Amino acid sequence: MKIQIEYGMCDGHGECVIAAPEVFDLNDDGDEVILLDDSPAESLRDKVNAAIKLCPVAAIRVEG
Amino acid sequence: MTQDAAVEQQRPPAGIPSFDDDLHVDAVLVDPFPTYAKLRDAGPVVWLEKYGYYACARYDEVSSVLSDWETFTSREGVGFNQFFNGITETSLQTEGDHHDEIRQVEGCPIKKGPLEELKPRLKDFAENLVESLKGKDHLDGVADVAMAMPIEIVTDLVGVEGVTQEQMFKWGVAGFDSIGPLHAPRTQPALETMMGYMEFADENFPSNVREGGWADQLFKNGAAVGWPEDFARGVMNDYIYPSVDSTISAIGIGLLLFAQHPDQWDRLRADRSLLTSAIPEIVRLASPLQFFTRVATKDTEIAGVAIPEGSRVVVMYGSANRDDRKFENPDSFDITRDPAGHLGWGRGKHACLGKPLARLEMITLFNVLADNVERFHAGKYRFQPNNIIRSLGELELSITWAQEN
Repeated sequence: MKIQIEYGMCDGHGECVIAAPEVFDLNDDGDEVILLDDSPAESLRDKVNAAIKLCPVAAIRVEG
Repeated sequence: MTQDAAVEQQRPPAGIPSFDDDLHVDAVLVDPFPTYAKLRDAGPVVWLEKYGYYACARYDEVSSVLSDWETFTSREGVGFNQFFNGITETSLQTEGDHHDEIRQVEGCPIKKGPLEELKPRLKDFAENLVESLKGKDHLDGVADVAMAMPIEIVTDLVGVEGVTQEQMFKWGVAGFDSIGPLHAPRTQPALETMMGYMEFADENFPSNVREGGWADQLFKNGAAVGWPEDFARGVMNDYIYPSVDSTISAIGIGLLLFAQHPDQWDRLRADRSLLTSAIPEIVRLASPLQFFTRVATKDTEIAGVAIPEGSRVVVMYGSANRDDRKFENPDSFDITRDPAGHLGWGRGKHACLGKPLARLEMITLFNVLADNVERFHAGKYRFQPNNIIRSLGELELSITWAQEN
């Protein structure tokens, strides 16, 4: 799977970081996501899906 | 599911701790913590007889309900009465793609780029505010400090002509009161005030909005995705009242916390990188919005407790944020606490729309205060009851100013 983030949408809520800390982090200012791994292992799919479901601004897309 | 399906059953379900507490009486609104502790200790799900609703007071259950919008929907309303719950022109009470579209349109001015441009203005405002405070012996931490930035800046940013700041604040108070249950004394008058607001909005929006302001952008961006004007006018509500009182609550309680914990103030003054954890810690303890509701879209369960389809569930942010199952010494103010995970801005799809702005306002203001204030001293203070928002009404504040270098 391949993750794409629409950075222009991100509000830094950090919901994705709580759902999938292996894949997402927040920057030092705490106002924008950092993608740690744009092609995470299949075993993380449920966590990535949870992050997508939680993101208030629908800024996360996954392909594959 | 229709509204009819959300009709509350009035008899306590078997086997669930049941309470006759009224959350919306003044004594509980200003000091809800003993009630919260009792509800948390009783179990993961309790029944509130006065409302005919289930309630979650513990962190884990509040968090999981908020995280699952498909099972616990906001589409049937998030309030305590059918009039408020019937409002559909808002991201607050819509779901799925429709929610995402509204949120994307109304979120435009609160994105990183526009906020970056706003930073110098907020800093100037905070510096001028602090200078103006220096000549005063006695301050009201609410009226003189907490209210200044949210009311003045946000009113101007939204850009509606002919609305006084006082009017904006009154709508704010009423907007949140109007979410309460019909049995609460504040609800009916607040619903009437909001009817007056709707009439004002019909007459003045978008004709009397400032070009380039948030309201103007909302109508234009809404039209671009095919919204009728009436719909955009409804969505504008999301700017008018949630943007002011919630931030005032957090700033006021923040001032009180720093007055009560001078050691925390000293730490912040010495290390401004702590602002990014201090602000969430204030919001955790303040929990400006104390509770909302959700409705179960199917027969489901919470922590093993059966929840029938159509049941309304109260999600208690203010209680979850004080749950010692989640937070060590939850009532203590520790600005180094991990900022992730508290529910002061909600969770999931409906997490606070204005959070990026509120956070920036608070970081800017407390940073400028830290430059100038050696010590806050709190005198008498009182909380002002509101059906949703827990906020100080008054805070006697005196300030020991830092010596100029």
